[in-house]
Amino acid sequence: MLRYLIRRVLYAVPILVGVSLITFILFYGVVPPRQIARRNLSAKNPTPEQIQDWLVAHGYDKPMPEQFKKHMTELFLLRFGRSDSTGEDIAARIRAGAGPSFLIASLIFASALVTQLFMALWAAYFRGTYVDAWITFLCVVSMSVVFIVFVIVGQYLLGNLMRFFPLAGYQSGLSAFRFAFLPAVVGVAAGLGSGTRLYRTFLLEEVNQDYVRTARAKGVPEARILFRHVLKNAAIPIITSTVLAIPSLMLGSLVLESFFGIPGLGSYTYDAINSQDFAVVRAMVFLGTLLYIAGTILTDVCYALADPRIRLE
Amino acid sequence: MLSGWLLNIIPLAIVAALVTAVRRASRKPLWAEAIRRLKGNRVALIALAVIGLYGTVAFCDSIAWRDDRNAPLLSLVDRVFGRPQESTYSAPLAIRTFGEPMPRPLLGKHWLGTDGTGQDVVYMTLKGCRTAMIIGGFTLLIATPLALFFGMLAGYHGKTVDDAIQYTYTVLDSIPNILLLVALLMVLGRGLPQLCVALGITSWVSLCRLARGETLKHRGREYVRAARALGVSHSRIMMRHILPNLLPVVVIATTLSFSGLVLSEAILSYLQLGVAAGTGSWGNMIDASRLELARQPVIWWNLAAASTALFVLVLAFNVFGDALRDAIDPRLRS
Amino acid sequence: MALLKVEDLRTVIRSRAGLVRPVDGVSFSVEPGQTLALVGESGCGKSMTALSLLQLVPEPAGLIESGRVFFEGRDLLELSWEEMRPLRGRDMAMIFQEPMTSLNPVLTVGQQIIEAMEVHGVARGGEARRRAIESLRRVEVRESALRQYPHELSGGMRQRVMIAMALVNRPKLLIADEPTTALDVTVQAQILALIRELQREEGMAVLLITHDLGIVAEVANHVAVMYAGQIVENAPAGELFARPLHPYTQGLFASLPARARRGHDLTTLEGRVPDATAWPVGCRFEQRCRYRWGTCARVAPAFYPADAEHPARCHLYDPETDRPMKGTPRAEQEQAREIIEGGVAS
Repeated sequence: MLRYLIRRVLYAVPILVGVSLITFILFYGVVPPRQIARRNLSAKNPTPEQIQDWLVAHGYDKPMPEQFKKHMTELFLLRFGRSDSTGEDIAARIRAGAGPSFLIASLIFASALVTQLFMALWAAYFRGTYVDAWITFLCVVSMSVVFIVFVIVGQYLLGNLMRFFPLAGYQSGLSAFRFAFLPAVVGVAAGLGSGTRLYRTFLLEEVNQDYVRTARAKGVPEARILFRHVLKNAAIPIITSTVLAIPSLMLGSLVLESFFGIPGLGSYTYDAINSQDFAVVRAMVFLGTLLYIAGTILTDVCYALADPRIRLE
Repeated sequence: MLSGWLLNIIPLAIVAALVTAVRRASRKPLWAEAIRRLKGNRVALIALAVIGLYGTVAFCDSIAWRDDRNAPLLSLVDRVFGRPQESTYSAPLAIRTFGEPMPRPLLGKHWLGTDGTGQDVVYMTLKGCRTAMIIGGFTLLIATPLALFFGMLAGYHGKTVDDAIQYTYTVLDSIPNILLLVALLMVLGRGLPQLCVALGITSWVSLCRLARGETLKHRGREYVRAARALGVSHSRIMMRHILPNLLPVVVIATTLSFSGLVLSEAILSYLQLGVAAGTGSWGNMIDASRLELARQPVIWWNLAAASTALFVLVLAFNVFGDALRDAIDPRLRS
Repeated sequence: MALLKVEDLRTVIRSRAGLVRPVDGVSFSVEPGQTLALVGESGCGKSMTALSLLQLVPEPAGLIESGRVFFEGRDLLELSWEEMRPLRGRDMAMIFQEPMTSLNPVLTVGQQIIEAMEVHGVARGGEARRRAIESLRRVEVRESALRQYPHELSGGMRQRVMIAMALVNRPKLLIADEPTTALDVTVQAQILALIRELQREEGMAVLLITHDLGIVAEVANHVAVMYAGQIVENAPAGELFARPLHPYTQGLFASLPARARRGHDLTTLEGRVPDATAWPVGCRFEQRCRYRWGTCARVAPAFYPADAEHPARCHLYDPETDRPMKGTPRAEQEQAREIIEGGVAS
């Protein structure tokens, strides 16, 4: 197992190199440094000397490969530098924002998993009947609604109607839950359709297998078949798809956080987009990739733990 | 830019290509069987009709010409549904403007009211059809052949070629989708073609992976080995033997991803990264509605129209995509 | 009294192509302690018959249409799913063809065997574990298998595990659906010997479903031959092998490679099984039968002679047949025997 983990981590390195290459090409190659300099210098019409000074100060005057090497090492060491627009330390801001994002992410993850699984089991148990048809129908409908509409309508309905939970804002500590509640509810509701449908598919795939027929021939009651046999087998693809979603949640839904005023990683990215802050976006891209790769490794490990047929070498 | 008439030929060409493709496909037994199954599925046919309706509106919006040299370029939709532009909001079927201290009488009838700049909401919704169809269709039109090409290349030749292509799409895939889109669009800027390019890059990855997997599956088959033994060239094998076997899966994946693309536009518009501000698009309408909902009294018709139009199209594609998957390969369903 | 008595069972399946009746008027009986082999080629409905007995017909497409299944005097088809559950796995057990997919891949062998006892309240905890080890010993599988997963065992061992699981509650009837088809020949022999011995030990009845006449010769007391959803011949094993009456059975025996003579082509049965969505009006074997005449296509044969030890579903044996005499039925039988034993192509 340990050998496997080491190998996976080593495999991640060339990927991260590739990602940093992409961000490099995107942000340095397409937008010339002069323009960045011009944008950052407060003077209205900066003189060529001022631009040159700024370029030298930020290391933009060196040849491309050297700049790339510097770019890459900085990213790998997680030295994200300073924000282009506000000048504050990016890494510090990330550390501050991780807390709220993590809170909401874990809330959404846990509740969504439970709810979706519950509904999928319902649909699977009553497969072929009206219950199943209705659940599937609702899933397809809910999948077809734009996420933003969920947020807007959710905020309007829940925020205006239920006065207890604040519409926006955030406070750390225990009262954070009050602020996290609404975004979590909206997040769960938005993903309900696709998740339930997916889990239902996994469950139904197992229900038609031969071993279920054997279990019935043994006289096992339907409920036990569903939970002990079907679910345990379906757990494998379920785990795979669920764990894979964790990194995206971690990054904080841009839309959710900005709408509800949660000062997490998502809204940080959102602000950066709005202010054309390339440094921050670059950092978030790298961080996101890092989390995603960690997520895939975690997924493979969980998969191996769940399925006795798999052995990681 | 291309002259007006030339631009009008493009939508006609697309429609002609689609029709020809379907007709040629219906001669092959696999597709004929799938079409037969689809015909028996009423819900799927309704979904297809809805998609066709949207397509027709988009088509009508693409055929445009000038009345004379200095007049603006007006499409069929403009001519039929264009309404006089008011000064500000108005409620559906109202006769005065809305939310102003001194409401002004309206110049024309507006079934769903007008938005902030006074544009008729029905008109804006219809104009959004074209944007959505272009985002979904055009993107896929470019991404799919590229994905098929690279995927087949990777799966067929293996070794270095495969490693290189795999590395490329793994790198692209490791970046969370929305971040990659954001990064690309920040660099490329707002606008329809830029959006298509960015979305194309992100959807290329999953299609390429799919094509590669399917190619790997078929490459080991007996008939491929037999063809090689007969001396058939690589490219001919890929085109004539492997590609037709990929098509069912690819068609299904493409149809189902159409709706995802259209939905992405809405989110990206909210992030101020989608199509340019003035272009008619549902994403822009939803984005504008954010502030409208906070007003007193609430202005809801903009959001309602755009999200309903979007919802119906996405639902139709989801339903049709599912039915298509069941028709092509019943084994794929649960 | 027969342990299992099936009367005129009909099962229907609704498919896209139409209504299919894989089981169309099947009747047979199994005596306690005896083995009945249900023989037929693939697709003749034998597996579906077995599933119908336990009400395991795949739903919602499948449906047991009519008929009666008496087990120890009780009509099983009158029972609901829940009422049948105590019988499944306790009084009547079933083993399947593919041991790899028929066992749950994520549960250990021990868990699956113990489950068979737990759901019927036969034993729990330590007692159940003890019995599981005991039943594994009886099928000659070592105790360490309890902790192993199905994919860690060989095909033969998996099938033994299936048998152990089926027998742990000491059922009165074992239904074995092609238990050795997926196994190597050597393993096949072992499994068959195992079934035979366990049957002797337990006094258990066995309904063995197979397409392999060799297996039938090894283990069966009685044989029922199935064709196109119906039983066409039913006899004690020795009698059937000595005097196959139905032309289909005769064809089966004649086409055994062991019967072939050097220098002569292998005998085959011409034609194909009729389309299951549209069973012919008359005899279903008529198209491929060498003895056919006018009546065969028009009138479906019943079992003749009725109530005898060795009935056959063929007009040839109808005492009131309108068959134009080409020779007496006795002469025909002699000719048939000659064909089988001599391998002479007609």
